[in-house]
Amino acid sequence: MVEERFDMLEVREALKGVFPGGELVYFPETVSTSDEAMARARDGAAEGTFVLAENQTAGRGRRGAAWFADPDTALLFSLVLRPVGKDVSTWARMTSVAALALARTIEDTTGLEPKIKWPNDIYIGGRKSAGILVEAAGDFLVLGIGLNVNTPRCSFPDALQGIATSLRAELGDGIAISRSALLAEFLKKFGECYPSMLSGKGFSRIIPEIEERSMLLNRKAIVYQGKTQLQGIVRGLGDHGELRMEVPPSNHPIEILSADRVRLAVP
Amino acid sequence: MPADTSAPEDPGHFRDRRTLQKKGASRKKSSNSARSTLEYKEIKQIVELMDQHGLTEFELDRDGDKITLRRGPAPGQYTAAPPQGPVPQLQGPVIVPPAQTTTGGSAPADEAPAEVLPTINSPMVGSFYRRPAPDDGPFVKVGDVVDEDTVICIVEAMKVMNEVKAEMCGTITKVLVEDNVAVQFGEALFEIKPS
Repeated sequence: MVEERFDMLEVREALKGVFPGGELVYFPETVSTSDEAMARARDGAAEGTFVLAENQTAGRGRRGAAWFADPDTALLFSLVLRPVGKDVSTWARMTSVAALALARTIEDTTGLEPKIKWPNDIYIGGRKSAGILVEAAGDFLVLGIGLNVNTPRCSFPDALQGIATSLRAELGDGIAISRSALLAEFLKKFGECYPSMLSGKGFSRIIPEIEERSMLLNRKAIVYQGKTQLQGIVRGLGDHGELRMEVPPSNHPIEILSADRVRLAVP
Repeated sequence: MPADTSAPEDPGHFRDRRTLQKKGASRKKSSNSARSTLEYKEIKQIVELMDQHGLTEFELDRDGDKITLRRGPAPGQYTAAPPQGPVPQLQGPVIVPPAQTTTGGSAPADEAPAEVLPTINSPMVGSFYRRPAPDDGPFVKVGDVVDEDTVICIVEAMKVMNEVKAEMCGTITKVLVEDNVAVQFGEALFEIKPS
């Protein structure tokens, strides 16, 4: 089956609606959209520079982890951002803001119920459908997203069978979803959420919705980081999107800034 | 798969919310204002000197009048909102100049004082990574010559991977933090001998 290619007019129009100075960079195939966006940002690319690909040959996640994407069926893009104000501590909110925009997009366009797995993954029906990678250097951020849209279940490699999914696989109706329309909707929703990143008040207003969409909220989870392992009940998010968890025996809340892995104690 | 119930050995990546709540503001004056002898003009001068010399923290105790001034967020704490007014904001790693030699120190007079080198400090709270990926070699090691644009580590918070650059030319003389541990804002990460 031949998959529909991106509609450049639709994508470009959506990008201009959010980032009027944004440049659209399109590749039928590239190594990694984030590699391309990082290179352009280092050379001074403006905020809104948007790298889109039909296929990645070496997509990556956090710390060099491989990111699988079936050619022509996923949404793979990276966006250069240059936040106003250089207080880098606020940049840690980027993953939460992007996750919220992506969850709203999936819900509104498909009717599915995506859940945010803190801080950067989107799950549907207990399986991962999207990942978010944010890389920062100097005065810019690159937001990278990979979302499985029309990927048939059988196309996932054996190692991902049962743990990865796509929107179309979850809908189960065999009808292809327009990746261009999905992307246009994401850009619109991201434009609405992005200003919340830089303001404490703005971010505090969206925290309740992010918590509501969390697959971990009020559940027992285990957090692994380096040699450290913690188990407790997730109670929400901190002021910068930290994972707030009650850990026995004292059960007083702690805030977790980073983790190699987080999983539910009882799936 | 590790056992789920084992106690954490090192809760270094996790912040205790109660501890945070006890911490004071990043700029405080502990004396009674009625008997304060530190005037606004003097404080302004101190702030200007801190800016001039790139200092991140200053403490003064004069006849019971105490003042602590810090640039940027307090250690282990984020600023809740971008600072108002012309407060210096952090753009990259903080490079702390060597401490001033003090008179009356405890070092024996016949020993040359050890060379105190500047450090490159963390621009944010997060996890410190010496390597781009767990199986890769380190960004830099002791003896490496770096320049302003050399990426020396990554500090991560909430999966935002923040590249830290050396911001100066020199040779790395010490790595002060273990790989994959939590670091605070302003914590010294590397010692560097400027060239």
